[in-house]
Amino acid sequence: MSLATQPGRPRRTKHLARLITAVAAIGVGALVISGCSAPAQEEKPSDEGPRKDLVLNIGTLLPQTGELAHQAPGQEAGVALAAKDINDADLGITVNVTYADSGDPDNKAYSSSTPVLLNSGVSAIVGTASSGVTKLVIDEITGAGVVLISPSNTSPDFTTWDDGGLFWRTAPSDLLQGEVLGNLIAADGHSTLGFIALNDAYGSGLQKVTAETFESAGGKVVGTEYFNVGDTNFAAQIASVMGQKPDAIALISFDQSKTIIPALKSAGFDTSNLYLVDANLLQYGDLFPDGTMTGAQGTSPGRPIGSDFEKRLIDVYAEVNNGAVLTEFPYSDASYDAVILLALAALAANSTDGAALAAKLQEVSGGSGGGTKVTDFAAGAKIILDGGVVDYDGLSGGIKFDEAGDPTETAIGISKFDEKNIFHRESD
Amino acid sequence: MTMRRRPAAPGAGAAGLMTRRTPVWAATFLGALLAALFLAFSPLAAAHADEVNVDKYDFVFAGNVRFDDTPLEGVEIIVSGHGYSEKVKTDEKGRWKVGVPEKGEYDITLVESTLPEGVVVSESENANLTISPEGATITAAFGLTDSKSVNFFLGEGQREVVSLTDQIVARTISGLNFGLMLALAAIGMSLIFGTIGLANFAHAESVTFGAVAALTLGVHLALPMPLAIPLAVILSGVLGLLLDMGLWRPLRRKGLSTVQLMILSVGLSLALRYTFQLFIGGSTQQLPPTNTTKITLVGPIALSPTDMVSMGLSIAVLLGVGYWLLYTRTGKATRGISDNPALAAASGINVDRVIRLIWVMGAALAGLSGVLWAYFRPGIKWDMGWQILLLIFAAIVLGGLGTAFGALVGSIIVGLLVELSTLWLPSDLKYVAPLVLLAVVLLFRPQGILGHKERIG
Repeated sequence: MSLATQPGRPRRTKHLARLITAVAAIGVGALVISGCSAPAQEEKPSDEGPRKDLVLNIGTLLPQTGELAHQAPGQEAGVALAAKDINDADLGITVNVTYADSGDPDNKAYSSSTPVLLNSGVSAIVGTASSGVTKLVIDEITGAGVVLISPSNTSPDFTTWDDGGLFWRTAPSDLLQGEVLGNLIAADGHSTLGFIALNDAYGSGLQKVTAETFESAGGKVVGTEYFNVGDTNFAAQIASVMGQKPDAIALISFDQSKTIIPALKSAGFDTSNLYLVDANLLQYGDLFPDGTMTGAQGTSPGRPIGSDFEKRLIDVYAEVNNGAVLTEFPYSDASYDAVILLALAALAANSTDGAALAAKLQEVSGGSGGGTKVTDFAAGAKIILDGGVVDYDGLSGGIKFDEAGDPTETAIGISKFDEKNIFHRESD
Repeated sequence: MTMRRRPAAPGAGAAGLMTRRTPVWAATFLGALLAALFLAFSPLAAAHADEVNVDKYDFVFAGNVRFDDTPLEGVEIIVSGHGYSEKVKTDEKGRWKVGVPEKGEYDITLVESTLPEGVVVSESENANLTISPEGATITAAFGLTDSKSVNFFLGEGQREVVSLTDQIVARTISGLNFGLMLALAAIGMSLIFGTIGLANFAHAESVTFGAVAALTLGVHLALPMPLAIPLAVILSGVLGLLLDMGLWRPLRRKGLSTVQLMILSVGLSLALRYTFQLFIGGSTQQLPPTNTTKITLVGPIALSPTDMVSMGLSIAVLLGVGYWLLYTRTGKATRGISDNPALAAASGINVDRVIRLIWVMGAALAGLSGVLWAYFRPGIKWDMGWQILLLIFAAIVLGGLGTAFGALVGSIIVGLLVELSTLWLPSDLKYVAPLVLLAVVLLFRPQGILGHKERIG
């Protein structure tokens, strides 16, 4: 919690001490209040069933507050839906989910949530949403022997991270997305490109790969301007990039896009030459006037999620959140797959120990063992209970983990915005 | 890439064969024929000719051929490698696509003889490109994906950029606009510091509150903005009043030190910020759209109507506050308290009443600044005020703690520096310049630009 970093003097009057307590109480109160929006699901482990049932306790460490707060609902819904499907199937495993807040590097919610999750005895944690936050918690979590599986971390750094085999992700490395994006911009015939990018592991990593691909295709990167997490004013970045008059601009950001896109538009940029990435490929809709984003394109990992899956996500989200409405679905498919994989791995290992889970994750994803292809939990669980090996192909792709825990079968799709600022998937 | 221009060949104009006496039906027939021919070579038909084996194989090379940013049609490209060779012609948009059987390295050659008159591939800056008698060849390989773009951009490619002068002018305006907004927020905070010695961290939340109130009234309750904005400003003032009545005044009465009050303000700021997040969520929201199309006024000076109204309003309000401070009774009393509270109280000024007025006014000005800030960024976010708090502090200290006019001067300097310094500094270091200047000014003039010397320890 950020209060720990606020200035305060150790010993002063009783008054002051009481005041600090009061201030802390207000701060904690505020955090608790904002934490209340977290879904809470209570599932009692059932002892019925043919053989001794496993009870898999997992946690989520997703950004309910802070810079990435728009990402948590979709991912938590994916987790909740997977847990519901697993528990409804009633095939030898029950999943309990504890939802915790990862916050962002600014509000540091992860620093209090992580120990709470670890102490509550979870075997695996689904999170975090941003590579920057994962870097801050990965050692603590994997050090405790708990599996950390991220639905959306794309930083190439994690491929080589020393995580004891406990870090996994259902999102592909940015090396893949950067290449698709760089090729897309080049294929559209743009000869010069400018970047406005977030200055963190994600932004600079993706920028680098995209720029390399674009230049190798014969284009030229004429301007790259970074901004920091928490910046609220992007006028200088926009002016610098626009000053170079690039044919196209690639915007690598989180929620800041909601400020940067209208500012780019009013600075006179033709937004049909704007390229977005997974973290800011959002349904902007009414947020901007019609036509603001016509023709803009963006890349995102995963397959198009069906309207049926969307509807089930909306329902389950409303169920666990007292009727709250889910509108964005970034990485909900990858979150769903992460939980299904964890449950299948637990069944295959017949254990809920973190290390035992991790040992089976590659196999159940199809990365080894040459199992039978399945596309849902129930089918997979039956095969495992009958002594077979499965290869789960999820909603986000074939997955197929490699040794480093990166998925090797994930599609990167290209989407295009219409005049209502809504994007539509153009390719698989 | 560079190019040489060949003298254009004399135009080979096809001779018209139709005579004056041609019957009408013949003309019609000829017209239909022409139309059919036109259709056959229209973009629709050509779109297929530029794609070869794309559906047959999994791996695809795609690219563009352009000369000085104009697409070249009908240019032949040969893709060869791994015992495979295929030709393709670019379409009317200069595009081509070729499927290849396996992943690996291929030579992609642009056949020079198929380039239009006047366009020649020659010496190149592109290290990947080699010139042979046949044309220009780029060796390309696939990466992690199954497609790869290879572009041929021909021509001198003289790139246009915005001139330094134009950039300086545009950024000066933008910085001035930003500085005026900072000033609205900074004046209230500076006066509060001047009168009760409190560095109020929660002032940032007054800025956010103004924007959030405008959002609630103007978007959620769908009031017209000309009504919503004044109401939001009034509500901000009411928030200031309530905070003073319920919190600050009772605490002052109990004789808390300014350090205690400051720490309380930090906690209050946290609490308010997360309350905002609880209500409006963590993402950015927008006020109803306004006209943000830039209109060129004089030379490089271009402003959108929104910018003009925003800057005009800031200037008018700041002038009003200046007049109030200099020429009205309460304004003079405020400056009196700011100079010496004890003396002011002794001379019969109702200190409590003036302080309450300052809380209300400071919060209202901050609220207005929040609304304008929401248009300037553009967007409303739960922590938008907090993110500029440091700049407000910098502006106040730079201009002279506790002085209203110092806050104005400091804010404008900070605003200009933030925007202008990035002409030379990387944009993510834009807050460095004003903070370095702050350190330098304080080294030579500890009381700030307009501060009174005796105020400092």
